Amino acid sequence: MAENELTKAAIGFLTIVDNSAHGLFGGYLILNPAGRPVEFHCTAPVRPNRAQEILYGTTLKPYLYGEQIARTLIEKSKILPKVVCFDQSCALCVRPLVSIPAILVENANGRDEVPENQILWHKNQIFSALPGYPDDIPSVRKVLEDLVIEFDFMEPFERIHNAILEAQKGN
Amino acid sequence: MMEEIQVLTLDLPKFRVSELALGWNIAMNRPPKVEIRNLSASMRPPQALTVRISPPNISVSSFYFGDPEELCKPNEKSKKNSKENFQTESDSNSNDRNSLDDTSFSGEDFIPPWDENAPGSAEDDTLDSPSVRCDCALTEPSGEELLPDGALPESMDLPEHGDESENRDEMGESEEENGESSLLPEEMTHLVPPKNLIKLEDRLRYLLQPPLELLCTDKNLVFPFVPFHYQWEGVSFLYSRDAAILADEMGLGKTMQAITTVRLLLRNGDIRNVLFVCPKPLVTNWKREFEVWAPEIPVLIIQGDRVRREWQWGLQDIPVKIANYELLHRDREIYAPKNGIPKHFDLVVLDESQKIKNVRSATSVAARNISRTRNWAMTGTPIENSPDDLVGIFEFLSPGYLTSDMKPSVMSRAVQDYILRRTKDLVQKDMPPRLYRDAELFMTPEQQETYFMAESQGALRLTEMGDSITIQHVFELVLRLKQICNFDPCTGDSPKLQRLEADLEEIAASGRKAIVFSQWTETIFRLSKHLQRFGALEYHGKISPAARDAVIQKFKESPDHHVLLMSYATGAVGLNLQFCNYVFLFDRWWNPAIEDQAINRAHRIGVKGAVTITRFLMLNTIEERINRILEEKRALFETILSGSREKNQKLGLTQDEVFGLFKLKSPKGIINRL
Repeated sequence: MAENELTKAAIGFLTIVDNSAHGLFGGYLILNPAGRPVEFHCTAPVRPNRAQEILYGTTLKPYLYGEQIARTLIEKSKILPKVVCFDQSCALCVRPLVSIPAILVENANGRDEVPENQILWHKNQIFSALPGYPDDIPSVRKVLEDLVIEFDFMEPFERIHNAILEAQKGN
Repeated sequence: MMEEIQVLTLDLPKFRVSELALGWNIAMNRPPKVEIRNLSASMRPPQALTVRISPPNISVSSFYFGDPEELCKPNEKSKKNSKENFQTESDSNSNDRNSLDDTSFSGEDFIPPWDENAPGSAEDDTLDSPSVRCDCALTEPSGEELLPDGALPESMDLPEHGDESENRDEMGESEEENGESSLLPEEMTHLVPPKNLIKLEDRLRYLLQPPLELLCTDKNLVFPFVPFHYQWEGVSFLYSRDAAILADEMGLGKTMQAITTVRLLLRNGDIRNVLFVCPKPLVTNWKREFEVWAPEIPVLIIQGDRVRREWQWGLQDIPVKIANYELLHRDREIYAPKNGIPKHFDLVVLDESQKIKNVRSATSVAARNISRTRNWAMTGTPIENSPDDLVGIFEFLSPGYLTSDMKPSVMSRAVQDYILRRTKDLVQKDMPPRLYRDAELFMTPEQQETYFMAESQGALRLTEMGDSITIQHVFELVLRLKQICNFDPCTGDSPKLQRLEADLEEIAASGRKAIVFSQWTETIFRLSKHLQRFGALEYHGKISPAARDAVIQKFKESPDHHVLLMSYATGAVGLNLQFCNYVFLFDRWWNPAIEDQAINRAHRIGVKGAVTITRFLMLNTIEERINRILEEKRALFETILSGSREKNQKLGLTQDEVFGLFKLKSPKGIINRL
């Protein structure tokens, strides 16, 4: 993939929507630093079978969310974003399988201080990396410097939810 | 019932004993027959069941919003020129902004960011997928701002958001105190695709855009004030629609919503040239509003002699042009197709679009002949007289979509996704109220005598005319009587003026300002003479358009001018006079919608305190009769606009109603709308 200004500064947002009727829908939105969409990928519903449920046990969720859906979506994109943000911790386990820094975005819930391996953004969101990948946090700091707008890092997940809902309606 | 019993006898063979004994002996002596089987001691190997769990087969749908390679090609020339020209445009603000000669941008050297050679233009769409371009063209990778320095001109009229400056100050303080705190509001406005957009990729194109409040924080996109949430909703509504009517009640900021949407569409590369059409007195107002809400966008007013206008119409690199309705008709040949190629606009916006409600009017025909991709209409009164007005506007927006024979209920459903109308009561719950005060006055005895003589003689003449009577004859009488209600032609007495003077004394003493509306310039002249001690200023059709802005400026800024005398025809639309707390309707207009427009010059966003509206009414006169009918019409107007299933009703005075003012019968069966 050719390196250019956009690919250097793009940010990915990945979430999985659990629909009780259809299964798991993965959505992956890549934004430029101005918050505009550059790419969007979404999966058809994924539903584990009974054997998978029994044999994977408690590891089924990270396996499906991270290794299967998140990995497939990230590999599908043309642009390699500078960082991929997740709002579900179980999807973060895709990190060892991809070469892009990955962070978990959570609401700060009133916390006003965080350890060094986390970032407090606008006093209402906390970014953390998967243990074992300490370099991901400095990568995120660099991304934050390049932002053109006031970024709300939870908001793009809402866009993904709406888009998946729209795609479902369309189908 | 008895059943017959049958006795069966078996015929057994008869054996002799010796034979039986022999057989027995043979059987006993015969060796046993042993069947031998081979048994193996070896065991089968155990079978293992292997369950192979293959990973789920995940199918992915992908959408690409523009070619990233194309989007990121540097175009330094474009950016540089943009900056230079924006600066030039900003500098030219201090001069006569209406004169093209005084602005240094030209078709030759101005290369706007939305230039066809610039990245992000329509020609960059190399993918079949929806093309939502990022605004790289306007954003230097280094983050360098391309906007003019000092963001806003100093002497700007900031009419619609007086209160918001306070909000902005508060937010500014908050930013300083909290350092990293987010400036984003809790409630965000997302773009919503219109219902008639079918393709998923087209719908996602809108759904995946950032919330409008987020765009507001773009370092390269300066807003003078933080727009209200309902205004963002209006922007969202317009942004995604090719055909739309923004029908907000007057004073809610339709202008700002349209300009902001155009600004975002231009930045996004969705449109490149826009034509605004408005009534002549409002042209400079639009220009001023652009300077406030989109200072980086070059705006050109089409004006001057024909040669000049022809050149102006042809300028390709000016993204926004403003023309008045009269020019639209006069210049129809200039923008008509030549050699089959029309002058095309990506967007045409008609302000005060009730001007085209009559589909047969020259203005309506001229508007419909403009080659365009998108079209919006803006009006606070989409229905002035009857639902036919709406049909007329839709003939421009989406020809044939509405027809006059549609039932109101069907029409209401059909237009639901095309019209956005909010009222102040709905969105500005904390806005100061409008206080109506009907000044019901008695005529002087002399005036009364003059009035009744004129009425009885006029009515008699009308009766004598028989079948030759026309509505014009009745109108003439109505106007004559209304003028007598204003001033007695014999003595010059006017109880209305006396009452107005008394009120103005108090208003002037408290340092406040008032607007007085009349339908006649003659009345305005007479009032002006009597009200000079209040610093009365005039604003009507006999004041040249060039001088009108100066009148408004003087009225706004000088503490010596407490009253502005305006004609309904000139002053009822588009002006921002929210620094006035008093409105006087010296005489009444035929249509409540026009009166509302007049009142809303003062009762707008930013008004401080309640606005008192005094409606003068002479008792026992034609004014009282007209008022009664108009009140009924006003109720109907609200009903139809709120999507009621009421019967199609005319909202102005019908021919029958006008004749009925004098207890006359309409000579013709057909009732024509006024």
